[in-house]
Amino acid sequence: MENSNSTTKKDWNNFLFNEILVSIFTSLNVVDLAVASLVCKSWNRACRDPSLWHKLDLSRMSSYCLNIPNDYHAWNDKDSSTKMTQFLKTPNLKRLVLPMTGFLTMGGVNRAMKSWGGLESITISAMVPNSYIFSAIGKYCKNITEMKFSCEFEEDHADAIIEHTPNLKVLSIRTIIVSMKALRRVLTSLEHLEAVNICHSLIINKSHRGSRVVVYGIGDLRKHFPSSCLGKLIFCEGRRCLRCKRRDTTPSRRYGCHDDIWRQDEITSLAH
Amino acid sequence: MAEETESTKTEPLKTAEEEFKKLEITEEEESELKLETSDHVTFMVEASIAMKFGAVQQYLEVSPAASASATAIPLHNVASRELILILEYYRMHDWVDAGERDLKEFDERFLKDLNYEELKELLLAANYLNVEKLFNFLTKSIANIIRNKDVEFVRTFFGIDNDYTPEEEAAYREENAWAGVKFV
Repeated sequence: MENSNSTTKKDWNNFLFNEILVSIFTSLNVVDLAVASLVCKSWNRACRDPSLWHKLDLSRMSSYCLNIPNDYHAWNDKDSSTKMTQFLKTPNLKRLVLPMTGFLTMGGVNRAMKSWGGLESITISAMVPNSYIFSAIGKYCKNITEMKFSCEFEEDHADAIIEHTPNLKVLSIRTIIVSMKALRRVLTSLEHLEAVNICHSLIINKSHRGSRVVVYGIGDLRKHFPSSCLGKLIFCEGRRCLRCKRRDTTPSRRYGCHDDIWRQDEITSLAH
Repeated sequence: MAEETESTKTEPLKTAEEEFKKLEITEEEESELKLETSDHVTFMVEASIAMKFGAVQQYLEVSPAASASATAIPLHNVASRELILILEYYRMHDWVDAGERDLKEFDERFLKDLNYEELKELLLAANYLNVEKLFNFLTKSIANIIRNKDVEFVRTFFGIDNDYTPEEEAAYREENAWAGVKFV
């Protein structure tokens, strides 16, 4: 009797310890998880917990992988697609952050999206050509309702998401250059859209030849959009916004991804 | 513990009232709770520290009478070895004179002195007792130690035995080759 009691207690403790390990591992990135999974069997079991695989931030991995912080070229080699498909054993993935730069083939992207059919949220970077990432998402990931852009947001993007992700609810296009026409198009065409984050972004309109650029302030947006659209916008204080001011006076802080600022977000589910 | 009150004796004489007030305060500071561990060892613990344990708080909410020191509060899933460590940690962090550097040194040594089995038991005990500060310290430190390290370093640091067969290890190494995991 005593013996069986102590076995159950031991089992219970092992179960609890597994839970504790999982909670420790939640703060690790994918490379550290790979290391942890090799340490011993009990750690391996904990590393396979589905809760650790809801979100995959490949942009963090690219830096850690080569141990060079902020190396934007880590994904530029020919193995990138192979690397990404290594994660295909994580079918519960809910949120994916693509690496900042690099090259992923059409085949690689299609395979990846196919196995991540449960994706609900994705951050798009400049690395994947528009021509096939959106069609792959539209084809395989029908549950996507949240999208964030860490590259420029142009008319092509607007058309692609209107066509392939008609159920989009949340869009974050903050701290980047946003085309006024593209913004107008998503606001008027995506009927399920609830929130669009344009904080610290530069809203512009290029003329056909690109020789003339008009910059729009928040006040101008009020004139251009009906109030039903304005209600969905999340914006900063424009000229009075400290972050925008600081960026304008520091030439090195340009719009775009080359700063960790892009990881933050006024929409908390898209911050990472 | 008893030495701490000695200083009151050397104080210059004051009015009886003042002296009485002082006594009251010292008494309050000294109030203790009796805790009994799973291996039936009783500990007299300063209430200020014991009340930081979620499990103790919960117990007293249900049966407030236990705060009278005659009855011991049972800690079914904590052995005396773990409680000693937990008390050591909390007494150090409760000590008013401890500077930031002292605490940092203490924390480092505290973690280093634990072997893997002790660490595991301590985490389980901290989890059961609901001692948030210590639990967070342990989990955060473990994650920090793993970050950016290779497998061998992690094994050596925590003293974890490699329970893989060479074949299993080779298979996992293959599976994780993408991560650039160093595998000595």
